[in-house]
Amino acid sequence: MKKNQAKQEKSGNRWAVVIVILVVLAMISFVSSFFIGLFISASDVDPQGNVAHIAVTGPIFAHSADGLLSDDVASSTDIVKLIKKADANTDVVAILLEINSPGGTAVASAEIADALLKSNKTSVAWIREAGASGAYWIATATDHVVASPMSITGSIGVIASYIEFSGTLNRYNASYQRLVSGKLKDMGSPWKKISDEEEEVLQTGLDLIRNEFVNAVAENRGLSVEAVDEIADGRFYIGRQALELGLIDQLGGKDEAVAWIEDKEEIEAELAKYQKPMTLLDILGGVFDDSSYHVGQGIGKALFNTRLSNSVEVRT
Amino acid sequence: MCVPFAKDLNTLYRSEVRMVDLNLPEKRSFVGPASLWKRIVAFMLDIFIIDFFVIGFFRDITAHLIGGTTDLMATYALLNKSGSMVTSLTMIFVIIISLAMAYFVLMQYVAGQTLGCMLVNIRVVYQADGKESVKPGLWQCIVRNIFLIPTVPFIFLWVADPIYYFLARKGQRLTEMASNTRVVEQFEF
Repeated sequence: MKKNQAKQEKSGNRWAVVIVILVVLAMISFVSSFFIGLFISASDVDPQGNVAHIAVTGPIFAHSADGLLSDDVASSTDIVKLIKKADANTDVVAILLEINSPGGTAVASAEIADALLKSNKTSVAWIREAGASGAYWIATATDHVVASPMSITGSIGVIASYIEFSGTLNRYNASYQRLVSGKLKDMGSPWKKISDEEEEVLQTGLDLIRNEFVNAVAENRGLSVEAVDEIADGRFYIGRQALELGLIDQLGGKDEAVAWIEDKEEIEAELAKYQKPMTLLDILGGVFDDSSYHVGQGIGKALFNTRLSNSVEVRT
Repeated sequence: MCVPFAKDLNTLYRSEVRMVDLNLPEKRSFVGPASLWKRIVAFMLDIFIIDFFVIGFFRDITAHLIGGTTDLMATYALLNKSGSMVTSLTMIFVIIISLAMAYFVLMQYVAGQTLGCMLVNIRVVYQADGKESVKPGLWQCIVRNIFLIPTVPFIFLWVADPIYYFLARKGQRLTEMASNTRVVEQFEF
């Protein structure tokens, strides 16, 4: 009797051990798969399709803060990576660039345009609401530009305007303590009036960037520099006007852009969305980055306001 | 009472003579090497358990990575394209193998048998020369399950283990011989 009881107890203990081990293994598996899932994103896999669909949405900058609270910004770093990824994929025969951007910094725009020019794939720009300034620069680097008749294009020019606060400082009995080594070091500071010499230097810089822009558009679009120079006064053109001026090739939307690719490459287009990888960790990190950035920005502005203001942003 | 003479145990079993008639204990049992089919069934059950408790958690991630590619060549082409995917899959693979190894080692070390073994009533014992068999130690459990690591040189055990099993006729795999362990079952008659 006692022997049987001991045997049953032993058997019960063994099953308890088995259950504990299985539960522990299952928990480790669950936690491991969860954390791996945080690091793995769809980016690890090349999207399936023969036309890479890449979006350029929002103002164009070299970098962007990723996160749920971030503004919709087109980062040239990310877009160049996507173009290169599509270029390296042998299944991809063409790149469809969806543009909906008012422009951005000159360098970021030029980086994307350069990546497109270096790509071996057929490329088409599809301008939606806006493909102005730097975004138009990017569009010209493709083989074919399609835009809606009502979209905003062109706006070939450079801008570096800023608000000058020196009057405000005087009004509040505050002053700008100028401490520089190099007389033009703080040119463009909004806390003082710009001098003639500073204005001349800045204007020369802007003109040079504009020349680069005009030359790029002329070369990419097969137009004369003079013709582009004439229309490059910074104004925007509605799609229909842009077509007449030779700034775009076709009026239409996505269907027209895809149809052009299909005709040229004699394929049935299968769009593959190429986008920046967003893992859960990126999103959470982005939220943290955003909040940290705004907290830091507030403290920094309070302490080092003049230092932050000494830069002029040149945008196309 | 007259008891018919039986030449061997089988004949004795087949004859309708009961042990009580011989005034012997009702049941007699001895421990011997587990039959091959029981070992195979136990291993398959264990694989099924690992699939349920471990691999199942990683199935979605793996499917997400290889995008539903089922063709071997297509998967190979896909792996060639993405270095980061290979890293991710390797990481998953290492975790699965480690947990599978942990299942076999811990079960045999703590309970003396895996769940599969429990279901077919076989167990693992450690038996040093001339000594009584006991539950295996941790090191013995690791050595006898080392074949689960799918890398060189352990991968050669997938061939060497069964060859040794069939040639040596001791009811032991090569790694069982190396760890002085064996899988046994209790025979009763």
